[in-house]
Amino acid sequence: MDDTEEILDALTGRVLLSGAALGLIVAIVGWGMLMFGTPTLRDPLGDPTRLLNDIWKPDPLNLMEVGILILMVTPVAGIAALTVGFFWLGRLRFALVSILLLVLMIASFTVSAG
Amino acid sequence: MGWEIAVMLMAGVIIGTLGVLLGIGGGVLLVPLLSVVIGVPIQSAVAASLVAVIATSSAGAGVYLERRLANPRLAITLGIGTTIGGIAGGLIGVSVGSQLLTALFALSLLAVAAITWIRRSEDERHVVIDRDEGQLGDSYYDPNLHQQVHYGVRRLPQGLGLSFVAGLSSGLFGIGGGVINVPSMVFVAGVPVKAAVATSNLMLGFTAAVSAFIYYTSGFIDVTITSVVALGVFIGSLVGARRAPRLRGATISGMLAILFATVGLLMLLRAAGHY
Repeated sequence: MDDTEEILDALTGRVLLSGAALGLIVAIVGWGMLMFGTPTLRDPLGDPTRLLNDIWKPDPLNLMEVGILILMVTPVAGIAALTVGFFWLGRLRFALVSILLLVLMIASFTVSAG
Repeated sequence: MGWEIAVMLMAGVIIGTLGVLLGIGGGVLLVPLLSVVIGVPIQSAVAASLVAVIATSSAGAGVYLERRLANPRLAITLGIGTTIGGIAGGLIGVSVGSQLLTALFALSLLAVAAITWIRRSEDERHVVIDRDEGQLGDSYYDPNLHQQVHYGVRRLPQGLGLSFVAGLSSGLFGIGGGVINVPSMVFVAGVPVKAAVATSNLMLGFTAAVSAFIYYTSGFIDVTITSVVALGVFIGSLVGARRAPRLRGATISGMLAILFATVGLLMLLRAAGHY
């Protein structure tokens, strides 16, 4: 492995770590609100349609759901980072494999949301 | 809900630590914990476990990539198989029960446990110090061997097939697929166990994300439980990933064998309807 691949690996690692940390911080803030008495007007089961309609309401469970969503899309961000990196390194075969993986993941998200 | 939160958080930390050391997401232990001990409905337990696997993967991969143990080229190549399998498993998992499949999976795990235990010392006797890496291979510094280990990847088609099975099991059982990915990479593809564990850890996130989203849009994610569990495994994974490079390959293989046997027995209990 050369130095440029080492940079790509480190960058991808940072994207994954940061994305997961961000999602969990948002979820913890939601827990903090709940524990300090902020009322919730919904049940704890996640619902993308309800979240889209109510996202601006200061409901602690909405924040937890947003945090979990951020966590769920973090691997997509990691693959996107790898895709960009492989193109930058000129490793086109792996860039195309990354794109295929990205397309599969986004397609599955879209199909299941539909 | 107080004691349940404490149990889930602490269990998450322990499972996250073990999981990242062994290249698994921890879902194989989380699902029975959540459904049997806490009383969470099984599909919500599976959903929470899948999100926790993403947390494990992201935390562990962050460290493993920095230390150059994980192989992203191999991860994305095998990730094609696991992602397609994860989609299939998630779609099946939200719709049907799977007692027979669970029993077959359990028996397979017990067989893998036996093979892994018998062959646990082989990795350090046979680890290749200087094999041609090829397109998919890589290298890493092993502090126990005090030298750079170079490895190539063999039997890619078989590896892709097994990665599909890993993805399928992820969506069906709420696991990351590491219990299949790691032995597949070690025994089929010829990857040293430390690199296999680290690369599997990276792959877990791709697999679990697609299945988790299917469970989310089907309304099975309990955000209160899921966020606590995910936080616990995230913390545990950060701790475990920093310790992993110092472990001997034989130690990791031995722990894996014990884990596979435990999971196999738990899965048999599940197939028999005990949870």
